[in-house]
Amino acid sequence: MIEHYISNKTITFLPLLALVSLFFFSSCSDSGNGPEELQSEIQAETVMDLHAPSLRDNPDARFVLFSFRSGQTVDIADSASTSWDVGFRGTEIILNSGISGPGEAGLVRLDVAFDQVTIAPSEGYEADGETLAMADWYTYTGMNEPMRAVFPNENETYVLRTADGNHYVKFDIISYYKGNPDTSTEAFANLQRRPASPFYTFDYVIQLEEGLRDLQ
Amino acid sequence: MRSFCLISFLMIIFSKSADAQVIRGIVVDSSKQPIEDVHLLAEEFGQTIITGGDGSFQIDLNGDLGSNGLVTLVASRVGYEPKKIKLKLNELDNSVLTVEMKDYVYESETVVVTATRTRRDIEEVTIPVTVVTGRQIQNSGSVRLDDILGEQTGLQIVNDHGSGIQVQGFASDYTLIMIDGNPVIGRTAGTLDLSRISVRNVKQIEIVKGPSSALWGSDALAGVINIITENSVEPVSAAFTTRYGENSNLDLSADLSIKRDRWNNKLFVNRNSSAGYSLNPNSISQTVPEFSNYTFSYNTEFGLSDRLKFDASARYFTETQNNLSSISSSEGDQQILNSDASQEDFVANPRFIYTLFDRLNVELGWMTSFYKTVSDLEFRDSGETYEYTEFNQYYNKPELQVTYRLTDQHHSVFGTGLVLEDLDAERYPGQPDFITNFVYLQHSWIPSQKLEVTGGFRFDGHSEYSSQISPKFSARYNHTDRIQLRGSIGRGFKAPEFRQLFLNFNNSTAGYSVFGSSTVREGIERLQNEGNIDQVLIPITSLEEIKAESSWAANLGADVDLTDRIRWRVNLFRNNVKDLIETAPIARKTNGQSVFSYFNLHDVYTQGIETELRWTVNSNIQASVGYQFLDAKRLFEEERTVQDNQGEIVTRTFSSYEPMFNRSRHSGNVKLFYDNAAGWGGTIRGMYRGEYGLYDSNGNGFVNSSEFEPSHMVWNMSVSKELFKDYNLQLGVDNLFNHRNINTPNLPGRIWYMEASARF
Repeated sequence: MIEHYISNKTITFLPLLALVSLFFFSSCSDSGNGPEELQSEIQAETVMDLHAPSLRDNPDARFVLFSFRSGQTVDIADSASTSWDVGFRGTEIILNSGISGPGEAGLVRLDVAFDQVTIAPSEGYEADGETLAMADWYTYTGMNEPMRAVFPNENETYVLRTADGNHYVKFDIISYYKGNPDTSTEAFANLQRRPASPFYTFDYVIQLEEGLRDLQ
Repeated sequence: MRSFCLISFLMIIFSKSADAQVIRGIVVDSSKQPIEDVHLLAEEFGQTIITGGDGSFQIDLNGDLGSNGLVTLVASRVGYEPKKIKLKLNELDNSVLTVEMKDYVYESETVVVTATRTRRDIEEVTIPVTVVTGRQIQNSGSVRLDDILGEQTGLQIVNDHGSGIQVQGFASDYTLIMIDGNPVIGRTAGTLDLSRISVRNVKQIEIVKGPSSALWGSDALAGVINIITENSVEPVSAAFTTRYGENSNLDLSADLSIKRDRWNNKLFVNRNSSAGYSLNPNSISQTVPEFSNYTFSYNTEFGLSDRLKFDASARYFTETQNNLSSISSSEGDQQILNSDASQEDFVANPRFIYTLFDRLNVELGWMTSFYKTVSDLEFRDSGETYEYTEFNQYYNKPELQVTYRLTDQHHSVFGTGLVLEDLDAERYPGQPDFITNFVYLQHSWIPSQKLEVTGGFRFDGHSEYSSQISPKFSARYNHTDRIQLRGSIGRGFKAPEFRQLFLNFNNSTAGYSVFGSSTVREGIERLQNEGNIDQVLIPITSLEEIKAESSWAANLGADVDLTDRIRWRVNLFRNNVKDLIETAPIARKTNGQSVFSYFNLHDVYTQGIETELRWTVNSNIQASVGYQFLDAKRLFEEERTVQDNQGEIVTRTFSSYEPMFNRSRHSGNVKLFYDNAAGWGGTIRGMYRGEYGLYDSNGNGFVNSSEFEPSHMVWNMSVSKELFKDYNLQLGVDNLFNHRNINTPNLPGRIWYMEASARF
């Protein structure tokens, strides 16, 4: 049983859109015959508390598949299709590519803050191999306070290509704990009172126009 | 006008007949010892003369009688109050004048050797030297070296395998500790445990901050601390001291000195023991274990002839410690271990000192030293040995030193020698040894009493790492009688440690390996032949020879006598440190673990201001305030994946300087010393340590705002009373407000103590 809540809030940045189209227009004018003008269509989403039990929680746990294009989870029965982009199980995150799926999903890891990524690179995308492309997305505190906590890496942004190979997404994991709690509190440090995990909260921004790399 | 000339003429004739146109005299200090280099100005005649080595002077007035037959002599010298005397020329006859000069209140006739390797007045040397006197040590109730150093401005006791000293933001690895000019050997994880050294028989402690490798070689990167042991002036003297304090801390000392015509002897014995203490009630191990130690030292000096002197010193220290520790077996149950440890060190240094002629001294000595530690862990129940380790270090140093005073304006020091070091320990198979040969040369030029310039360098050639050249230039300028300026620029270095060169360690439980830079090739080849290497990360052929850690530093300071009783000292420092040695993985093993070796990895800077105000309120009360501001940062270079203008991936190197652990930005102290003629004495000393980072909880290698430990202040007090002239009683309390924290293991909480001493 998968429970999740997605807060849809399609944001159309009209002025920005104009600016981006202007940029395209001007940058292509040199070639003389500009290509058909593409309309950038950006959608920013926040997914709250996507529950993705780990193998320790449930030995039969399957990956919770998610599509950035639809903003919805995808049934595990469709795992052999390109309808999903990423999958979550505990701290494991897979991409629909390489050894994990039939798709063309790829990942670029940038040491840049989420807001500062305005365009997706054209190449350098990594598929899932023996080492997952999304490995090491978090820091485990171990014996340091707060003990045994999973914190997403700071100042790291993931740019993904969707499984169909046509869209670009930037992706930022915010929390691994239910309700995206304040992790500096004593309640969080207390293992008995710490909110449940794994409940993913993440932000993403997708370019809905095929082939366009703009993310702002 | 004419009559004036006539009178002058008559007076000259008159004085000639009285034969008083030459003023002869001698300048002495308050203990009637002659003082050299005193400037004497005959004011009316504008003539200046400087006293010679025997304090004598002679001013020839060339038959001039001046205006009224009077002459005003002004004697001045650094360290003494200027003295003015009026003389009637015709009353001088042929007598020899005695001019007695009084010391400045602060500037007792302190002679220091650490700054120049020659005996020089502390007021004259070109680098600032801090002196802690034996009296101060006694009044403060200090027993071991860490007690007294922790109370000095700009010095911080830090704990890592013992109590070490942090100087100008450098870890304790980088300060050279000496006793009578001989380096103390034996460091654990870089720390020389200062509690090994008793301060009972100490005349003074000389502290030089800033790199001093130009004279003293390796380890003198942050500074030098030289303990000068007492030398009695009485024909026969003896002293006994006993002190008892909390934690069953007992300290017993005795010394005996016999001074014959040409033969001086001094014997010192100390025993120090404690039941230890625990700051962590959850641990079965004591924070400081139960221990007892002995120190024996003997000095002798023998005049073979007027020109040739022999002296020798020997010191032996031995300590045993008993503690408990525990291990968890694979089944998860705790097993208790008896942890016994012992350490001993020995140093002897026989020397011949030959005065070839008046101003040329030759010293030839051979220092020999060893340091040994034994650690024995046994299961408490079965008595079986869990782990037994032994470490032996041998150090030999033949050395020749020549000091030459060409004229009063030119002083030179030259030295050369060898350091032979040997190791005998399990983790260092093949009993590595290495040799350093060194030469140093220093010249001081003193064009006037106002100015002194010193320059020098030292060369250290080493069998296992790159040779080092350490230059240093320093200067003193007396802007006025009340303002002295000092500045220096110099280089310091620290030789790679044994482990960094020779370690050969395979952790059998975790499966990783660590090799020193001299053993790594062999080690990797061996592991390769055994088929244990999966991937070599850094090709062995591209390994560079390891370099010593080194630093360039600048110091600039001033001593200002605000009044005759208030002296203000300030020093600004900046150290640029290169090539700090750390471990990094060099290969991956087939078991998934790494092989580590040592590399020159890190760059660091430290800078700050140190300042102290000393005020002699009156002859009974002395007060001082000290403060240090410290900024110590390490260079972090990080490769980041970012985007170019087109959004494509590029890798850029970002560098930043980030704060280092265990460094307080602010630290300081306030002290009040009192004594009176009735034999009462008392002190109050407060030491402040500002907040500092200690644990790297997020593992990023530098201090974040959440990683600071709170600041603390420790107050120590003591009261003493002299009885019947020869006896002294002292009562004291250290850490009055009971600051206790597991992060400051050297502070056991509030400590009462009582001390009785006798001196004959």
